[in-house]
Amino acid sequence: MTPLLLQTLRVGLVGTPNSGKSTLFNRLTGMHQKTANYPGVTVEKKVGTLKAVETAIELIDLPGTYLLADRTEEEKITKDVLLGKTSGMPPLNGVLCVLEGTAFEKGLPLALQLSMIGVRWALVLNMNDEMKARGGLLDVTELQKALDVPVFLVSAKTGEGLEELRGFLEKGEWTAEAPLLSENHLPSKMTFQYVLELRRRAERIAARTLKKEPQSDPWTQKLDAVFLHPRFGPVIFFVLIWLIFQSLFSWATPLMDAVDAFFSWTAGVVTQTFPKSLWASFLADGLIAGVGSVVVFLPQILILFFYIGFLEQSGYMARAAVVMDEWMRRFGLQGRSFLPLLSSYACAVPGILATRVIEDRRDRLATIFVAPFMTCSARLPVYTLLITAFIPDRSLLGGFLNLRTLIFLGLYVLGASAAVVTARLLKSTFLRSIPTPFFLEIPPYRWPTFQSLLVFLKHRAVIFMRRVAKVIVLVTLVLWVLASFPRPPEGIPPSIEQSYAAVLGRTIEPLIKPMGFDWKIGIGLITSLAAREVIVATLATLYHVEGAEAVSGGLQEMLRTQMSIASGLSLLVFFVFALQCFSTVAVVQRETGGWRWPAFQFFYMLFLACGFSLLTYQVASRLI
Amino acid sequence: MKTLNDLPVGTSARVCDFQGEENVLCRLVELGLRPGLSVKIVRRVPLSGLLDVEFLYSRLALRPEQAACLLVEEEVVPHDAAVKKEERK
Repeated sequence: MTPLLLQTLRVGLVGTPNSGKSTLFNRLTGMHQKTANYPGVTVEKKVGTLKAVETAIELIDLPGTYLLADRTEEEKITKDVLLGKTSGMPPLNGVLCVLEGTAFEKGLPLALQLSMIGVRWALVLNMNDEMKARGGLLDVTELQKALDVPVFLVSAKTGEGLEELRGFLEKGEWTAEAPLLSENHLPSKMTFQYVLELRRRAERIAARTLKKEPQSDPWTQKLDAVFLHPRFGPVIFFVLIWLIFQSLFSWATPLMDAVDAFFSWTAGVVTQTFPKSLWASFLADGLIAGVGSVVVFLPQILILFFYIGFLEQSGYMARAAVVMDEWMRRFGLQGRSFLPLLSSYACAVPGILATRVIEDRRDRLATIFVAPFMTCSARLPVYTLLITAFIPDRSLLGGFLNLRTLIFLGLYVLGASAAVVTARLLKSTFLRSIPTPFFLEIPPYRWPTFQSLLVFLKHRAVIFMRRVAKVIVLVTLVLWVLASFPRPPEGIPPSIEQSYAAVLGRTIEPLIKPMGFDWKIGIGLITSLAAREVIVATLATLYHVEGAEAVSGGLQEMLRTQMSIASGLSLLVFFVFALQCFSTVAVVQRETGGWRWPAFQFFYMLFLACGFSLLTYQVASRLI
Repeated sequence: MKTLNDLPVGTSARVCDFQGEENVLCRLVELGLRPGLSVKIVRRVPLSGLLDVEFLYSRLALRPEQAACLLVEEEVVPHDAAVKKEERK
């Protein structure tokens, strides 16, 4: 018998940054979304459904905030949803206010504001395991009396107290008509007096309810003595980065070889099963070659995301942002730009969304503008392919450094340099503004939970495979048709040089010849406008149609026979600068509210790409 | 009057007043600071020179410009425990 669903209960999840709100959200819903031990990481509201017996409960994860205000995009999103002012979204039935248990007094003003606007809410004090370990003790009954709402002590990490919380939600006390909301008790402009008054009330409540104060976390003290050491701290930071790059190459290779072998085997089976048919050619040369060439890079991308997830959730990233603040400032950006830029190393789209934490509009625009220069994971396949094809696997400095790793790191540095120079230019011309204040919480070190890391990696893998399924399959299909037709008359072997693709490519060849590219690369540059990694699939398909199976060693070997080293280097440089990503252009359009900025950004980056590519080819072809 | 910037690393002090732009002060109070609160300078962060400050059982990194907004009076260390008790009442 299916249980009768009475109605959907809509519960908002608000809380201070770093309160473990997202981990709690994952724990309650099992939904897959990013969580991190870093202030300001949840930027888009996320919805998940909780399995209850009689009522469906929908949890809405809102951006973390200290107060209900409208100074930043994030604050506006949270405030509007709470007040039921977001269009297309009915008012919430209730709100869970999540605070960091160990530092609950800090977040109490937010809870007090919830009372003022009239929502139905309950207080969730997270990280109770940490509170206990640090020797803190709270009088829950007293706190419930003081706030006049239910209070739950939970630990999203260990699962402690979650049953009670779930039980409370399922009991359906919030199912009644949503209460009347009012903005009247919120000031139209945040004043010092107002905030101080809230702070005073928080202080009085905490004084009544905190029975034993939590001590400083001994592990955090010990680890920070090392990681924030005046001399060793920065050294460790740079060594960590270097280790990540080195292992991205060496650890991923066996896994990538395995995936590669699987696709070669499948293609082989297909060609043997249906010999010499058009369909076999389509399956093996078009689909399997194209998709396989990109899926090979999934292990490498997941390893990168594992590092990013681990560093974020452990709390190290917050330290890195604090250490790097001075450098960011020198380039005209602020500490708040660090996290968006850092997450752009994974993908510029979430990076650009993360700029919503930046209050100053000019700073935000500058950060959005330079975010695509950060080497995103979509560049990884292109870099890896070209580097393994053209750069010899040579040890430097007695095995301490590998030439390939060095070039790889160099490309990242080149992208980052372009970003800082561009930021500097923008901030000293038409995006000039006064420096904004910067504060960042330094959270205690926390061991990332296995579940949250796994959820994070799975989420990224799904995104990657979805792109492969949508963009790459489509582009590959079109390309295979263009490269395989017109079919030559019977008896004459098909030649790619006669195909539609060749005709198309030849028309643009004169333009890109000075950069060292032939028509096949030209086709790749066009298809990769959709997404960078598409060029790999494009080249794989073109070379396969041409008969690459004959050549052992796959795509790398094929590239070596088709291009000179100078052309290879030139192509690498092109990918450092060019904005080849529909999703990024679309998100910039949405976030800046017009086509002016994305257009400027696209052509600026294209100009740099062509310029530096030309320079690289002209210099390299004369030297090598 | 001393500001947070004038305190040597490792010492604690009591916040007695705020000075500076209103929106900056709002942010500082939002993050938990208030008059009467005891704060401890944990360290200066390498490279950036930000102040790593501990209060209300958590930590915050501050730029010197913002640390200058906090006027403080130094605390005598053995006194610390007694004052905290008083604070709780």
